[in-house]
Amino acid sequence: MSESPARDIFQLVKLEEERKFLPQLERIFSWVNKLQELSQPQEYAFYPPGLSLKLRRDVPEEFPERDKLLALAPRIKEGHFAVPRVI
Amino acid sequence: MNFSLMSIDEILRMEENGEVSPRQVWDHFSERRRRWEPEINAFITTVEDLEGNGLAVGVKDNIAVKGLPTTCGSRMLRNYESPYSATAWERLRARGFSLAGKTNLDEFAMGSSTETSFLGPTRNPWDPERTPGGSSGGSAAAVAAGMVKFALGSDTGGSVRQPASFCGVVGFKPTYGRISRFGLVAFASSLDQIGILSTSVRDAAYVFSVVGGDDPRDSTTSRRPVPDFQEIFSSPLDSFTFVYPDEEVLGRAEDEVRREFMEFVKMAEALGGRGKEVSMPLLNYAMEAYYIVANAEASSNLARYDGVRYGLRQEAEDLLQMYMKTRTAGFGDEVKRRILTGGFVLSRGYYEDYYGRAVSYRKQLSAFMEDVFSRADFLLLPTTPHVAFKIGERQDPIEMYMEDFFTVFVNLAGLPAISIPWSLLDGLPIGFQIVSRWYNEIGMLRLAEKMERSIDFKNKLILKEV
Repeated sequence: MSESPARDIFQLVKLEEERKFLPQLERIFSWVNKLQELSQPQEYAFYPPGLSLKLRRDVPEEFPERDKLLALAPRIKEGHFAVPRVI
Repeated sequence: MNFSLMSIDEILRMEENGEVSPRQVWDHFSERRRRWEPEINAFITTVEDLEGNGLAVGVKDNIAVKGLPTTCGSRMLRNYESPYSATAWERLRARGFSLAGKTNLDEFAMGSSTETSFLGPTRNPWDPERTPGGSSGGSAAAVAAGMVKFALGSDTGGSVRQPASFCGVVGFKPTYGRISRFGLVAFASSLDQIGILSTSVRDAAYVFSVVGGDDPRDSTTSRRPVPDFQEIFSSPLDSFTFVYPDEEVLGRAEDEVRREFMEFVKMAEALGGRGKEVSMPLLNYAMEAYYIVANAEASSNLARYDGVRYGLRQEAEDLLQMYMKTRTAGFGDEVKRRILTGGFVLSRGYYEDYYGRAVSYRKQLSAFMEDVFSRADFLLLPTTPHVAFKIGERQDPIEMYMEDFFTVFVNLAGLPAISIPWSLLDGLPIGFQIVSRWYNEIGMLRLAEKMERSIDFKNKLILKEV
């Protein structure tokens, strides 16, 4: 595990504390490297066998308590979620 | 009357006949919560409102109940209140069950000891110095101490079965897709499954028949009908075949657990089973593959906690800093480790070597399990490598992950499994697992109930205390 891509991950997943976690990640990756003993991947399974995803009509539904959802937000402004200025 | 020792259907029958009132039933469990909760810390939120039949239920605090907090044991969601309820809880409520409270868990269900909860650890009723296991440790402890009749948990890699083994209760995880995940806070969506913790196999079957089944709000639920409770035990299981792993896999358990497990195998044979030892070398990679798959999905699922729509926010000058500070302050160390490893295995240049190999392993494992169940009805194996460990004893994350060695492969393949209490080792419970082919919950519950009747387990030691 080289340091530079590992540092990029902190930006990607939006977490700080590189100094604390980098050595721990090194150790974890040397553990999961055991998987390299297995043959090169040929077929994949992303979910358990026998599962067939169902389709349903794409009909918008109104959530009856919009105000309650908004009330969960740390900051709202004029009925919208508020964030720091981005431009 | 000790309602903790009676089955759900028995209590409901007595209520119907007017022999007991819902209030009497509710007060029994209430009294036990007053006695045990200060010592055990099984609940994050308690509710003292009797509704319906008085049978008290615990719901893990990553399962939404409208109007109540769903904290996931995390600082991130400390003040979050659910605006809707999970389907599993809605179905219980519709049948008259009463909520006793939301139970403690490892933060975002990531752990095996219920120690990483922001609200402090849950303690094992058998020995409060020890953990109840995890991540559904609050649910398992609440059931073991008789504070609730049963509890819902979630099982992504063993989080229902492992604490069930540590607390001397039944832990049931159905086939993936049997119980709706609508309202269950997502950890690893292709592995997550709501499960049931109870004091008997019969009760687990009863609850399964209520909460299971198709749900239009979860596209991964199966359309196959869930068996009716009466149907499950309508005919006995006379003869069956089973396999159990050889020393290479069993060697992961401590000597005493292995010895006890072989007694479990002998009992299965005495009850009409034809058993055979099998080699399962593939299981030796399950832990590593699970860690990659689960964390890849977790890094994606937990991206939603950004301080914008709900949960904690740490204010900052710009948006990126707000995200970084919020997530760094809101998540605990174990959750951060998992998000980081998950992000890494999905990143360009590493995807094939890590995630690719893990999902390829998953394919091989499923094919292997298909072969196993083409030759036998059941697979028996330990649930945990040892009895409950002490709080604070496992400091090394990898050592903690290995606690789930006997359970994670079940989730990777999406199989049904149940852990039933077997015996006490030095005064602490240990449970063993029965795994079956996909959707054969009926057969699995029949065998589990048959074995339970023959096992002289003293789980009632705690339940008999007032």
